[in-house]
Amino acid sequence: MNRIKTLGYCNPLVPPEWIAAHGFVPRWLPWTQEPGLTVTRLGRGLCPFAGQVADAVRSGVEVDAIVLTTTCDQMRRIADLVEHEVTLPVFLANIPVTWETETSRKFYLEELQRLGRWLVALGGTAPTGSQLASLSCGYEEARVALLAIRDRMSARQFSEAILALRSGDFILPSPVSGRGAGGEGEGGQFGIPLAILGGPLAPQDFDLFDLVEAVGGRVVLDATDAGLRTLPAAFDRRRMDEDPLAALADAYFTTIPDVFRRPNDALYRWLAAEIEASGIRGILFRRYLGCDLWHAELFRLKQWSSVPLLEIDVVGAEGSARCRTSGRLEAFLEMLR
Amino acid sequence: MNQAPQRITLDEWDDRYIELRAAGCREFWYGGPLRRHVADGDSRLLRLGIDNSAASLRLWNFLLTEEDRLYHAHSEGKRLVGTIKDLGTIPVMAYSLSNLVAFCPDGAWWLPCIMERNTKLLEIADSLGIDDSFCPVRAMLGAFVGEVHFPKPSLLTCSVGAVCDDCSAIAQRLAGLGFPIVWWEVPHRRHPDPQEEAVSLPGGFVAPESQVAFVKSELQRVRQALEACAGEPLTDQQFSAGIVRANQVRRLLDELRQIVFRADPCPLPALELLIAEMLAIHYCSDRDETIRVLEELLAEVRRRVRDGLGVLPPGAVRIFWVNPVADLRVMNLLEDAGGRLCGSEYLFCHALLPIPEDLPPLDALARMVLADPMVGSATDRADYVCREIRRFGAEAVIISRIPGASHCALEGQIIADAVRRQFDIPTLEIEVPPIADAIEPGLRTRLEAIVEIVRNRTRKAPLARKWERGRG
Repeated sequence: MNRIKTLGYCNPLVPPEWIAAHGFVPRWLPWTQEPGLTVTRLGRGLCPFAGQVADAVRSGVEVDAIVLTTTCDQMRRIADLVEHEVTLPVFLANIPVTWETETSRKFYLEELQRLGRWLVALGGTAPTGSQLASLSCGYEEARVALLAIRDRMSARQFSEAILALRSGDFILPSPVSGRGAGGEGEGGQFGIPLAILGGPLAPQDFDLFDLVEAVGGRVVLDATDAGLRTLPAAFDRRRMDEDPLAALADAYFTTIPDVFRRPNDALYRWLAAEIEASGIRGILFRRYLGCDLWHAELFRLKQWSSVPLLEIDVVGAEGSARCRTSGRLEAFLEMLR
Repeated sequence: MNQAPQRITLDEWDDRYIELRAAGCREFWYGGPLRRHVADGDSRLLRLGIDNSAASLRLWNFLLTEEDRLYHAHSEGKRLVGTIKDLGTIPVMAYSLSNLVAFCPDGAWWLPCIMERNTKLLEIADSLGIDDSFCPVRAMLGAFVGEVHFPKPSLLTCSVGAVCDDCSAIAQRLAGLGFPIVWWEVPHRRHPDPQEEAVSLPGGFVAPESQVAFVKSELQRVRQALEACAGEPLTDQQFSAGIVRANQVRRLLDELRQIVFRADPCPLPALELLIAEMLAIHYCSDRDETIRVLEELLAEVRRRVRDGLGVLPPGAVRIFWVNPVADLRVMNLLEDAGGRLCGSEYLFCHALLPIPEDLPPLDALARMVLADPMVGSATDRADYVCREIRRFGAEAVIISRIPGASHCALEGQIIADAVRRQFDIPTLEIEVPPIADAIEPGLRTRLEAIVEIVRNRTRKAPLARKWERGRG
């Protein structure tokens, strides 16, 4: 390879370890807030997140190739669109929706192998087993270190650290003291503990954490794609020695609970355990308009949850969104006090 | 008895029915005047133009009595299998076992159209948080929860993976409400890599052999579930016989489509052809009767073509239609505007393709699953549409968006772009809700406009050629 290439991706089921092991810099895809496809297609039911990813890719985001996934219908079709409109190589990874069978697990593993071949074709180098194992363990150590200080980080800090970890420029942050602390507003370490649940959360949307603190809450559980929910469980070290790719695949495919899984009971089990452990008093349910997978769960979650739930729908780069969300958050927290 | 072929209103059908009966028209157990379905709640019939043949009477009666058939089968001790979102796959297997009756609960998406406000399915879905941002398939949730329109199935299967999010999300809600579901995965069909073994699929697509093997293993799981439900094993011999019968349906539909799309004047309205195609999905819960209904319809169409008769004036503008309409009346509007159907892709065109009979049955069915244009890229689907435009000589394409459907936000643009790249023909994208009455004037104008554009081009083309010759 002439230079280290950057590979953009935006789904937590794509292991950055595997990308890095081929000599690429994994980069969590930033997305634009500029009006583009998102605005023109919202009326037709386009998910703002999917539209923003497409807009980012079309507007020349600084990556050399992109990995998209089939975890939802809209992202699957975005791959179609960008393949025609941009010159960047695009890899569409087939992530099985079913997860309880051996054939699904094998299918996921084979997709990682196919991704590896594609990366080699792009100029990457296939890692040896020990290289992959070493790199994977390095990522895991970083995750463990991060989790160890999670209680002393603000929600924003924690999500930023995960973003950095996924983007290959992780430095263990200096935590502020006290769980959920760091807010300048009424919340901080004494705010009402909340969970935020939903799909992708863009870096520019991390302001939401500050907003929560400004009105007297604090996010102690980030269960969006940007947070704790999408971190893989610890690797099976013996398996990592024997077959590192299989160990990597197992950790990602079998332990990350998500709404698109069928069945998606694991998401509820994970959530129940985390709510219990974190003493959460309310859930912020953040969904993109047009995202059927999260939207369909809203009613069920409301019935299931032992704590109140506030829906925050996200349209995209809408000017009034911040004021609207702020007002709703304030009312929600008043009710919880 | 022999009226000229035409679409008639339900009022006219009252007289027509008496006339047909007086002339000795044979009726079947599900037969009777169409009017009685209105009393059962199917009030949309009052707004439809319906083909006036005895064959169409049988087709409509067969379609509108499926509910009775399901309850009857249930009362006879047959096991019902609800096959969600597979459009013509699992029913092939299920009907190979004598004591199973398969049906597609997601077919309920047409009920809010057929029954208009007489059904509360959408209201039930609304009350469960599945509002109109979802596609009309949400009616299925209402049907399950309201325990109307079909008995509770003994087994539910649902294909997931490369399917629309609406159906997958709503099926998950069903599971959350206590309806156990056997999920089976259909991967996104991709093009084989250069070093991969490739398999040709019915219809012309190609898939990696590894994907075919994966789908085969998924279907094997479903097969075991069906066997457990039926209480008997499904032998390969029974399975192969089921495929042969499925192919009988598909061959009849293929011939019907070929004749209807090619003949001028058009011998069968778009609405009846759409309904006939729908029978391929799960045979309207009676495979053998489906074959007989289609045979009679085909005979009628052959007779009309032989006699030079049609339901529309000759020279109607030839339209290729993409996606099914949530409101069946729109198929009438197309013809009122001067168009006619000349090719269609209603999301289940793979259910019209013959299943290979020279392969082990599970292998053959796995290939059919991957032959579905919807499980591949929109570009693949656009290629299929273009092949069909070329085959039947369509002069324009209408892409009918389904409100709320996850695939409709983007694929229309990709298909329209592909069509424009390959053909110099106009395309039109419209959206059709379950009841389109409120937007009918606008829809009508847009349909008339595309027909007019084609007519203008046809008129200008000979003049342009003459002008070119004059210059030369």
